[in-house]
Amino acid sequence: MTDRAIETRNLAKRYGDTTAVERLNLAIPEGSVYGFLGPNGAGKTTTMRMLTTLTKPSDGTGTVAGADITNRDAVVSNIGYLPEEPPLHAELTAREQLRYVAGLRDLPEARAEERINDLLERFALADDADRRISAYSKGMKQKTGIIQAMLHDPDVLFLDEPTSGLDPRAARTVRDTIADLADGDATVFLSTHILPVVDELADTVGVLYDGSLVTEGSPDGLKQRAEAGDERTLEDVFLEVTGGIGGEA
Amino acid sequence: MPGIPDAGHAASIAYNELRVGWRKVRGKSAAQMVAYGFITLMMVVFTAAATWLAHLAGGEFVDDPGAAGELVGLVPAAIGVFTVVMTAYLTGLQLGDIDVRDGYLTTVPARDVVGGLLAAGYLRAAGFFAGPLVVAGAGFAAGAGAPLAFLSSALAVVALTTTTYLVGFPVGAAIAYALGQSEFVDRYKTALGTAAFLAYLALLFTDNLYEVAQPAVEAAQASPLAWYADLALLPVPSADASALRAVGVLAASLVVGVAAVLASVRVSERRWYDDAAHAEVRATDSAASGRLDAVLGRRTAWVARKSWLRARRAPIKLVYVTYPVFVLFAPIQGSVEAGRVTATLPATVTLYAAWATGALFTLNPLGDEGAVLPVTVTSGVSGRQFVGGLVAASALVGTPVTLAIAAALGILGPLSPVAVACLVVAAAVLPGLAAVVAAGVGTSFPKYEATSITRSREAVVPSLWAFGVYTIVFLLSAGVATVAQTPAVAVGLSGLLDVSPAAINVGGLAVGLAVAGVVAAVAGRNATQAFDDYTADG
Repeated sequence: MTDRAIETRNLAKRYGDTTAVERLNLAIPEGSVYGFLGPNGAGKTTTMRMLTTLTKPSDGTGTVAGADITNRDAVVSNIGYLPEEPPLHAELTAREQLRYVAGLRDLPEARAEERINDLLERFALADDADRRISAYSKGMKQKTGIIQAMLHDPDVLFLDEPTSGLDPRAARTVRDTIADLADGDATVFLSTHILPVVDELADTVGVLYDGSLVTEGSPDGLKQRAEAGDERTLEDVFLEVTGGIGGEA
Repeated sequence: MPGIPDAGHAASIAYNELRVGWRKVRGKSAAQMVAYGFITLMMVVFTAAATWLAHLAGGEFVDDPGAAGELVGLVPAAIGVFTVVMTAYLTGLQLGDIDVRDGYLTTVPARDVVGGLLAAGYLRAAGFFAGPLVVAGAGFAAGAGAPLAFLSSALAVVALTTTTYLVGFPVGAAIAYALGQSEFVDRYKTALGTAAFLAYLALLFTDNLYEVAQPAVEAAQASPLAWYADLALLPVPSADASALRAVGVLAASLVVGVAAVLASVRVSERRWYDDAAHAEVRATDSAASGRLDAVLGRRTAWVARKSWLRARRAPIKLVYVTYPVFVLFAPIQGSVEAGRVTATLPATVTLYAAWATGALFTLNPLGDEGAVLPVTVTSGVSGRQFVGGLVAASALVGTPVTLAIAAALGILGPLSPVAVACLVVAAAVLPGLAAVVAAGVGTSFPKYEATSITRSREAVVPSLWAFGVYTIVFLLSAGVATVAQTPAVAVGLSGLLDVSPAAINVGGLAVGLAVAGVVAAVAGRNATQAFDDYTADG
């Protein structure tokens, strides 16, 4: 494996005449948290789908955990992915869903069971683990989706709005979990609109605007990049690089 | 072998698909469970009948093998063609894709997902007739006095249905992929879907469906597909079955099966990973205000326009209106065969058109609003305006169509002038009344949950209760007004009551309209009240 968990060179995606992502260059080191920001429709989800092999790039190259993103089988075994809508079967219970995915991931049964129980406890889902997912609240589904994405200790975890719909306690658990993961060897690619989460967790922040990466750096570095002594928030930076307050809905 | 699914993963995915499917079935309403129970009962009856017939056929076959003639090769050919067509259709519609696909594709290789779909799909697509055929094979073996024929016929059924199923799967997936790539199809899918459905109905009504299938079945009969008969009949002493052909067809099944699995993986990967076509959505402001405001009032007009706009953008939710179109089968077929409009056609088609008008937009007024309902009921729109808008949406579309059909068929058919006039009056009045009746029934039996129409499409459609109660009430009221215009009924009743047929025509119309009018008045009040009194806790 290279020391870059995610690397892209001139990655692009076009749908006919419409450009979703243009010449994207990323170099994300192992064990880091990358905060991926951008207004709605900027191309964040398309980028994630390319990195997780769900969409073919129109141009450029990329690797995830050392595997070429055109080599689907190699990429899939190294990643965990939580899309905006957690991919769960509503007819199953959380425990059934997680055991099922552990089976598909070929995790040894005893180890999988232990890990499922640990994670269910950690996310305060143990008491509801044997209820159908169809009866879950949005937050409970989200927590089940997060557990599912990290069940197999992936090298790279792609999380699309992981704290969406969570109460403050659950959101705290997610943030602590992301921090713990990054303390190990895992790399977290985090797409969110909740800027304080990125501010707290991310080692590097990249802002995508209209398909292109318009700024990148550490949260502190970005905040201090303005005129000397003028401390700004991440929100100020975001608004500035994405066309100002009236720039994008 | 590269490209072949991992058996363990495929089995696990197939098991899960069946488990999720079974739980979906168990979660259905009592009425739907009754329907499933009825289907199961019919399957048992069908299997028993097929086994009995196979038993008889087995006996006769031993007595006179030559009498079976071409039937021996025809049976596997017909089963094969049916399996391929059925599988291709179901794969394009549902079997070829999986819920939460992104989750699967970032967990296991796509080929394993395809393997799971193939295994689960076989039981869904071919299992329901392969099982009864295996049982029928036992009947044949007993009749022929060759117990081993049970095993050979079971092997033949499983090999034949599995191979043809595996061939049908990539065909269906490829068609779905090709259609998904076409901007033309994406743009005109509603019109194309309607045209395909009408073409199917036309073939069905004109009794030409087999004519279309015949060349395929004949070609299959002349192909090695007929050799499955050799495999099935191998242990029957009097049969002229070739061991070479039996072994050959088994070996060929294996080769074709493996090739079909590889093709399924290849096509599914293309289908899932290639970008689908997206026709430019032309968002013309077709909901703009207009003359309708002056006629109906602004709020009522907006409710009507909203219904039309939603139906045009998502016509699939109106598909249930076509379900009872099969009642037209006999009269249309009769007319086609006779080469003229028969006596029963005008009244039947008029009755259906009026029924469909009522069912269009008003059979689930509250549930059809979906997540918007709380906003609608607190928007200041009154129940009268809301129901009026829905009734107008249905009646303004359905009345001219019903009227035109009734007038055209009435004049072309063997109806008396009085009957034609009565039918036209009924066609002018009944669609509007039907819409009001439907609104009353629909608010009494609302349905808020979405129903799966295909795997990827869900829509809120009226409840089965609303559908059934509306249909019965409609037939008992509007039915009188139209059926009385059928010559046989008018003449029969005129003899019974000692009045002229014209009196029956007019009397039937008057009684039907009066009953429908009273029912509509009650239903309309019920519907407006249900809207005005709506609370989220029921």
